[in-house]
Amino acid sequence: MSRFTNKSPFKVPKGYFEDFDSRLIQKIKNTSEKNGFNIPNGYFQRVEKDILNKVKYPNHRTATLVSPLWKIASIIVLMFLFYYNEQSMLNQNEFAEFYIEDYLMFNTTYEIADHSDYSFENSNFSSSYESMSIDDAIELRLYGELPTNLNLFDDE
Amino acid sequence: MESQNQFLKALTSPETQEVAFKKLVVDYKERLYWHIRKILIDHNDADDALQNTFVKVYENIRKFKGNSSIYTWMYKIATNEALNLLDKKSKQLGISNEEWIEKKTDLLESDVYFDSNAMLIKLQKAIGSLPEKQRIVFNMRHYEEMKYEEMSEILGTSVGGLKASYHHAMTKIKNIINE
Repeated sequence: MSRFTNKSPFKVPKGYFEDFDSRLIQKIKNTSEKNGFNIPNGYFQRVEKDILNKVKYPNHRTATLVSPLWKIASIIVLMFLFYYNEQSMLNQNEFAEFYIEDYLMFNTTYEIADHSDYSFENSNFSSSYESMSIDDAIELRLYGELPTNLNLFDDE
Repeated sequence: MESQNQFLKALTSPETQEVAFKKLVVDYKERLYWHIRKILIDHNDADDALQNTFVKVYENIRKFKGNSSIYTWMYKIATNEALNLLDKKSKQLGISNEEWIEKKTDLLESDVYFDSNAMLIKLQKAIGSLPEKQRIVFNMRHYEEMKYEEMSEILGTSVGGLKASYHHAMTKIKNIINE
């Protein structure tokens, strides 16, 4: 019995325990390629879209081609609007002149004066009294205040 | 380098930038995501930081001088975005970044986007217990198998400093796993 010692008959490869921990770490590393970390299904496809959506590319077409065209177009539109405005102003003046000419041609002096009664009495006459002498004002008052009075005066 | 210059030209030219930027997103989204996810642990936080990273890349592409590879430059932006988000989240709770990560790793067992494997959780908890810099260095070196020179460019630390950080991180993780 003394021939049997408590030494284990099992043997291990040389240096087994020296590099055991290194091999263990390597084994863990190989067990899972990502070392246990996982990602949601389709994550990399989604994140690619998210990233590309977050980035705002400059619109180079606008900068190089469309922008000058827009500038030219807007200048043309402004010029047209200016010309159109000028033309319509001319037309308005022409129309006004034609209307006044027509009015003066087809209405008698009395009719024109009659149409203007209100303004003669309330504004023009009162303001003109202020700018003339008292004698002139009395004379005008007695003999020629209103064009309609002229007939009455003549009859007398 | 010539092809990178051509690609950069495509990224800054108004006629081609949409197509070029889409290619950039398609090519790098996964690699950057996993780098950010290892820093932030949580998927939703990683998603936010990843989107912010690409928006920043797009906004600053004209400032990129082409001294390094575009991938390294994007990696740097991604790291900064992840750390900024971490700062913001931890400040909201009035705790340190390390405490925030510890909190997150404690929740991994109930995280639907994490395999509830006891050994993996133990490893993540061990990594989560590291100081911030060691944790990032460990992840970049061990999982992403990045060269120290590239890491140095991204993190702005000397190669010697990075090697020391990685060594300390590895020792701590081994000790935690063997406990």
